[in-house]
Amino acid sequence: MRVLYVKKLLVDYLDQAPYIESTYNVDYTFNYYNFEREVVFMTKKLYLTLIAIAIGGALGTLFRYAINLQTLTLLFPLGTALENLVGSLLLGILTGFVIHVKLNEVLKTGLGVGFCGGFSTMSTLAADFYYLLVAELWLLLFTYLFISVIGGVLLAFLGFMIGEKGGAKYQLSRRVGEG
Amino acid sequence: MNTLLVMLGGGFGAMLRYVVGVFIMKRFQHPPIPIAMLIVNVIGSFGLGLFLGIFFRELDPIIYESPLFLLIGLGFFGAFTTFSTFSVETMQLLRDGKRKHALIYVLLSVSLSILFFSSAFFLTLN
Repeated sequence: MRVLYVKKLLVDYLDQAPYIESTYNVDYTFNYYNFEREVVFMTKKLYLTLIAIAIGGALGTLFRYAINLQTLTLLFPLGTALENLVGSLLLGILTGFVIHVKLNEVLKTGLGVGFCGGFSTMSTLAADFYYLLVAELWLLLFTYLFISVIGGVLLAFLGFMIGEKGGAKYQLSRRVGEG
Repeated sequence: MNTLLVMLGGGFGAMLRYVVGVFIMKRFQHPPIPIAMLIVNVIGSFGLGLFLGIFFRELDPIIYESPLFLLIGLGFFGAFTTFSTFSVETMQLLRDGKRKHALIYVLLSVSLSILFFSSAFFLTLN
C-alpha cells in the first residue's frame, strides 16, 4: 500500500505535460481497487510518454544530424537555422491541429516534445552566435539571429493557422462520415 | 555507430527536458512568461558552453567525426534545448495579446542563452 502511494505521488508529479491538460482529476471515493487500478494506469501512461519522447527526440536529433552534415562546410549556420524554422512550423501545425482533433496524448507529446523539440535547438543557436561574434561576422550574425527568431515566430503563426484549418476540416469530414 | 550515438543522446536529452520542464512548471505555476523552457534553454546553453569549452574549443567541421561531440554536444544538449517550443510559446503570448510579455520572453530567452553559453566558454578558458 505504501509503495503504491509513493508511486502515485511520483506519477502524479510527472503527469502534467507542457500544454497538455491533465485527465486525472476524477474524484473517486476511496476504494483500494480503484486506487490500485489508477496507479497502474498512470504508471503505464508515464512510461509510454517517456518512451514516446525518447523515440521522437532520437528521430528529431537524427534528422538534425543529417541536415547538419549537408551544411557543414558553409560559413553561415544554415542547417541550424533551417531546423529551427521547420521545427517551429511543425510544432505550430501540431498545436493548431489538436485544438479541434483529440489526438492521443502520448502521441501528441511524442511528436511535440520529442520530435519537434529534438529537431530544433537553442544551445546550438547560442554556440553559432558566439562563434560568429568571435569571428566578427556582424552581418551574418544579425541575419542569423533575425531570421531565426522573427522567422520562427512567424512560421509558428503560419503553422498554427494551417493546423487549425486542417484540424477543423478533418473533424468536419469525420463527422460527415459518421452521420 | 555515429547514428546510434546521436539518437541515444537525443532521446535522453528530450526525456530530461520533459522531466525538468514538468518539475519547473509544478514549482512555478501560472508564471507571466513560460519560464520552464526558458530555464531549460539557459541551462542547456550553459552546459553546451562548458562541454565545447573543455573538449572542442575550435569550431571545425571535423568535430562531426568525434563520437563524444555527437553524443553529448549534438545529441544530448541539442535535444535538451529547444527552439520550436520557444517559437510556439511566443506565438501564443502574441495571440493572447500579451505583446510586452512576448517581447520580454524573446529577449530573455535569446540573450540569456547566448550569455550563459559565452560565460561557460570563458569559464573553461584555462
